[in-house]
Amino acid sequence: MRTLIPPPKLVAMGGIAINLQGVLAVAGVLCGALLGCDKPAPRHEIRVMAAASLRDAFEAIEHAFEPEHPNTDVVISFAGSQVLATQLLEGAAADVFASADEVQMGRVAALCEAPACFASNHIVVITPADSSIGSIEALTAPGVLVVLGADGVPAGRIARTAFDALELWDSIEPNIASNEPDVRGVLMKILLGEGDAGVVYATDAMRASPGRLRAIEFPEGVDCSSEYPIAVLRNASSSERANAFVRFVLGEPGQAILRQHGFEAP
Amino acid sequence: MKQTPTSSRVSRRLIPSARIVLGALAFIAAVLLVLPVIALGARAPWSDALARLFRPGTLDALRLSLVVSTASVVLSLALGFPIAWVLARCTFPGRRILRTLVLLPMVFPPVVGGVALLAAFGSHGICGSTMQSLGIRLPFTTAGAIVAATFVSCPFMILSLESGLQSIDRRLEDAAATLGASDWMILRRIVVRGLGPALRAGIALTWARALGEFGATITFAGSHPGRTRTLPLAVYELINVDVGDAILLGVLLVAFAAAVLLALSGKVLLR
Repeated sequence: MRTLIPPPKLVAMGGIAINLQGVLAVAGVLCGALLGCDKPAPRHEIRVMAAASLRDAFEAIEHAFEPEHPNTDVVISFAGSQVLATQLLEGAAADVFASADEVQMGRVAALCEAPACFASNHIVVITPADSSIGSIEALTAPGVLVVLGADGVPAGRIARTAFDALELWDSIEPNIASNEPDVRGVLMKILLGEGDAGVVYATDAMRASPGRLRAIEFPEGVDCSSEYPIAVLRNASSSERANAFVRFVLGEPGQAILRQHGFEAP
Repeated sequence: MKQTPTSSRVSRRLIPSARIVLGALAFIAAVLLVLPVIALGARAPWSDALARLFRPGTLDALRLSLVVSTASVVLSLALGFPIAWVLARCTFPGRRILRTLVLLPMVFPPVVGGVALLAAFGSHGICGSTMQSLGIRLPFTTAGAIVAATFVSCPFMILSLESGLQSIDRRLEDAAATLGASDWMILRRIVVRGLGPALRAGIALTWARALGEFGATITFAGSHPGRTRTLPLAVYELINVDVGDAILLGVLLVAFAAAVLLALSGKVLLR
C-alpha cells in the first residue's frame, strides 16, 4: 500500500512546533509544582457517581459530610445518568451511584444493592427571558424551535411523556430542532438564544443565570417528575463507608441541603 | 576496522540495536492503535447485526454522514486551496500568524469550536442578523452541520496542500509562464498535477476528520434525525440506550472509513 500522507514538512508546521514547545515547557513546570506539593495523610475515598443535575447539591453535601468523617475523601464524578450507568456497566469502579431516574438505575440493578429514593425533581419548559412564548400550548406554533434531551436522557424521556399526556406531542414533534445528549446541552441552546424553548429540570432552571430564563410549569396532574434513586455498588471498596454516605444523603442534613437546592422530598 | 567506515558499514553496525528499539516501539504503537479497533469488532453483537443495522434511523445517519463529510471535503478544497496557496507562495508580514490562526480549529476543544461558530454564525452571533436578513439559518440545519465539519477539517486540507505546494519546483511554473501559459493553465497543468499525493492525503485526512466530527456539530447544529444527527452523534445517543447497537454503528463507521481511505491510497480515485 502506498503511503497516504506525504512526509511531514517541518517548515509548514513551524508555527505550531513553537507553540508546542511552549506548551510542553509550561506543562513541565506545572508537573514539577504539583510533585513538589505536600501530600496529605492517606485518606479513604468514597467514589460517588452522581447525575449532572445534582452537581451543586452534592458538592454541598460533600462539604458537610467530610468534616464529620475525618480521613474520608468524597470524590464525585458528575455526568448524565445514562452516561454513568453505561460507565458502570463497562466496569467503572465506584462506591455509590445517584441517578436522576429509575430507568438508568434499573440498567445497573444487578451491580447495586437495593436503591432508595432520596429526592424528586420535576421538569419545566424554559424560554429566554424576553420570549413571547407564555404557555406550553405556544410550543405547537409553526416555526418554534424546541430543544429536548434525547430519548435516553431522563429529562427528555419525561418531557415526551408529559407532552403526550397533554395531547400536544403530535404538534410539538415537528418543532423539535434538536435532541441533546444531556440537559446542559438544552440549557446552553436556550441561554445562547438558538432555541426558542427547551425542557430541563426545575433545579437546572433555578440554577442557570437568574433573569436570563423564564420557566413555565406543567399543569397539575401531568406526571412530570423524576425520582432520584441512590444505591451502594456491590463491589464498593468499603460498603460501610459507602453506606455512611448514602445514610447522610437520606438523613436530615442531606435532605436539608437538597431542599435548599430546589429538590423536593422523594 | 582498519578502513574508514563506509556508509553501509556504519548502518550495519547501527542496525541491530536500532532495529530492536524501533521494532519494539512499532509493536507498542500497533497495539495502541489497532487493538481497540479489533476489540470493538469483537464486542459487536454480530448474530443479529443486520436486523440492528438496517433500521431507518441508522441508514439516515449513514446517508447524512456521507453528505456532510463529502460536502465539507469539497468546501475545504475550494476554501483551503487558496489559503494554502497564499501561505506557500506569498511572503508577507504575519504569514506565520495567519498559518497558526487557520490551523487553530484543529486544537479547539470540541464544544469550544461549536460555541465559537455560534458566536460567529448563530442567530445572535456577529453575522447572525446579516444572515437572517438573507434568509440563511445555520444552527439546527444540515448546512450548519456541514459548516461545523468544514471548520474542524479544513485545516488538514490546508496543511497537506501547503506542504504539497512547497514541494513543487517553481521553475516549472516560471518556464511555463515564459512559454506563454496563462495563470489558469499553469494552475491546472502544473500545480494541480504536481499536488497529486498531497491532494490525496488532504482529501483523505479532511474527509476522515469530517466523518468523525462530533463536538462542534452537536453544539452548533444540534442533533435531529435526518437533518443533523450524523453517525457519530447517533452512536453517542445510542450508547446510553443500547450499547450493542452503538458498537455496531461504530464498527460500520470505521469499516466505511477504512474502505474509503484504502480506495484513496490505492489510487482508485484521483488519477
